[in-house]
Amino acid sequence: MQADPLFYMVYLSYTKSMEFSPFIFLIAYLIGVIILVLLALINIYHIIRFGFLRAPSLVATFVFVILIVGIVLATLQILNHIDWQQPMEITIPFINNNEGFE
Amino acid sequence: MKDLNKIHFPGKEPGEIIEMALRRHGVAIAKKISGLLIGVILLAVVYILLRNFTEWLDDDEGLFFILFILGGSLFVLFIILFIFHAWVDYYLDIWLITNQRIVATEQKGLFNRVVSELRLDRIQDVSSEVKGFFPTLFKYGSIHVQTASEQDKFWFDDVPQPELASRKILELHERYISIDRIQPRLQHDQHQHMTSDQDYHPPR
Repeated sequence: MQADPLFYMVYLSYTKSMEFSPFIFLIAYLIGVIILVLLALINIYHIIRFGFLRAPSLVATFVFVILIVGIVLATLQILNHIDWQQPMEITIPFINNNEGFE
Repeated sequence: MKDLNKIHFPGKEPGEIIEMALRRHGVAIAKKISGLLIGVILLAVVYILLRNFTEWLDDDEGLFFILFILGGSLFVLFIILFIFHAWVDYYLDIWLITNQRIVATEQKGLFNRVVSELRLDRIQDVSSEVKGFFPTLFKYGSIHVQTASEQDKFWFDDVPQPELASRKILELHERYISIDRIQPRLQHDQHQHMTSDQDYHPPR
C-alpha cells in the first residue's frame, strides 16, 4: 500500500488532550508560601531568642515582612482575573510509530 | 558598637565587662546578597525576552502565563528569604571579647548554633590574615587564636581591621594574666595580715 504523505504525518503525530483545574497551581503556590513563612518564623525566632531584638533587627524583620506580604498580594492581584475553577485544556503531541506502513 | 555591656550572652559572670564585639565586615554579607540578587535580575531578563520575542505571555489567561507568574513570584519570595537568612546569620555571628574570655557565637544554618568560649589565660598566640582582592581593598580578614589545647575552633573570618582586633586581644590577654598573677599574691598578703591580726593578743 502506498501511503499518502499527508495521511502519514497525521497518523504519526496526533495530539492528546488533558483537562485539569489551574487551582492545583494555586495550591502548590500557597504550599510554597507556607513553607517560606515557617522558615521565616524560625529566623525571627532566632533573633528574639538570642537577645538581639534591637533597632537593626526590628527594621530588617519589618522590611522582610513588608516585602513578602507585598509580593504575595501583587501576585494574587496580577492573577485576579483567573477563574481558578474553570478547567483548562492542554494538548500534548503524541507520536505513535509502532505501526509502520508498507 | 554602642552599649556593649547591654549584650547578653550565656554564662555572663559578675564583673565581666565586654571590651570588644566583632562582627563580620559588611562587604562579606554584601557579596552574598549581590549573588542572590543576580537571580532576580536573571528572572527579569527572562521575562523581558519572553514578552518581546515570544507569544507565550500574551494570553494573560493562559497556562504559561499563570505558571510564569506563580513560579516567578515564589522564586523572588525565596530569594528574599535567603537574603533575610544571610542577614540573620551575619547578625547572630558575633565574637564577644570580655576582660576574662572570648565568647564566639556562630549560627550555622537554621538549626545549628555553636557557642564556644576561651579564657584569656589559655591564649598562646593570636594571628591575623588579610588575603584576597576584596579583603585587601576593604581591610578585612580573619583572626586565628591559638590555644593551649589542640582544638582549632577559634577562627573568625571577615573581621574588619583584623590586625587591630588581634592586637587588642593580646593586650587583654596580657592584662588578664598580670591580674591573675597579682591577685593570688594580694589574697595571700591579705590572708597573712588577717591571721597576724588574729594572733595578736593585746596585753592585759
